[in-house]
Amino acid sequence: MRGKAESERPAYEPGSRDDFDRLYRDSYLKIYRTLVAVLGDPAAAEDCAQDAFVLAFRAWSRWRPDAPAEAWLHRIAINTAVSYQRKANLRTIGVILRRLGRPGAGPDPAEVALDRDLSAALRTLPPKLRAALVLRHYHGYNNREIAAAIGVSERTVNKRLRIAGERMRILLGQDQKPLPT
Amino acid sequence: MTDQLGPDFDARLRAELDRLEGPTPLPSDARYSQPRTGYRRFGGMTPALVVAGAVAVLLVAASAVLGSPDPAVWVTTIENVTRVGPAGPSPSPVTSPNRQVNPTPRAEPSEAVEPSHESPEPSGGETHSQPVEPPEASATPSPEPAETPSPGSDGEHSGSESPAPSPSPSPSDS
Repeated sequence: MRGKAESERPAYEPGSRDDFDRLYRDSYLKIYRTLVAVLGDPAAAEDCAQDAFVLAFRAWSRWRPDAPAEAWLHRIAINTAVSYQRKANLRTIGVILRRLGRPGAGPDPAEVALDRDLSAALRTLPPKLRAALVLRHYHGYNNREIAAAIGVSERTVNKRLRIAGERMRILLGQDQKPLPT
Repeated sequence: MTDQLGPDFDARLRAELDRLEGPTPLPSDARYSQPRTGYRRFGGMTPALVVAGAVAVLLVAASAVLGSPDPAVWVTTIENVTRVGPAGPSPSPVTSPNRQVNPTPRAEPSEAVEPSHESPEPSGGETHSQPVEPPEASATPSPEPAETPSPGSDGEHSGSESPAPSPSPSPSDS
């Protein structure tokens, strides 16, 4: 039993370059997708994912194996994305001011998405609520794992999931599409 | 609570995110594998940069205070300053240029004394008529006859040396 559990969990050695490369290969796509959901912009998500791995690599020797490495990476990545979003909001204000009287910008990322309703609804949520929602409904984390990944208490996670669920239900409730099978 | 979203939401979210199949960059191409750029490159040289900055600040401050960027001028200025300290009272000899030979700062007492044993100098003897001074003065004027009253230093101790100057006053008395 125990051997099976250990074999299921990839063992990483803090500070090992090879192990970090393996962690990168195993988790990059998950981190990237989470950040796409949080940021709503694939290019920004890729940029933040790379930055997150840079930060993780610098702290790799201090990583404690008592927490899953992927949750640890998610925590770094989500913090990076939240910081990026704040700076982007400030930049947006400046861009709007500079673009007064000029033609509009490129297409909205939500319009690039296949499920525009879902994408648009997600974009109405604050990044922290989006992160909690994606970790639960896409990655399948439970509240404790989300708390470890985001760095907040389980109570806070529960509250965020409740608020995010209520908003999404309102936004999508009248427009529930049948899922493509 | 969140289950109110139902399995449909999970499926829609999964479908939306799973279509993002961007190829994972190789670890060798990842940003963390790239060499640091910009100012981060100097992260390991921080102590050296701090020392260099401190030296630069000192140089600028010294140039501003001493008025010259030339270190030789700084050395000269510092030497002058340190020399001025102990030599402060020395200007007194300048006031009596006629005694160039006498570098001792006690010019005034010497003036009082000189008349006692050196009559040729009238100024001291005429102006000061303090009889108490001569014994002390006999020691101070020693530089004038520089060689002979070498015990001049001893004369400072007590009046036992008073007989020594006595020979010289005799001609003055006469």
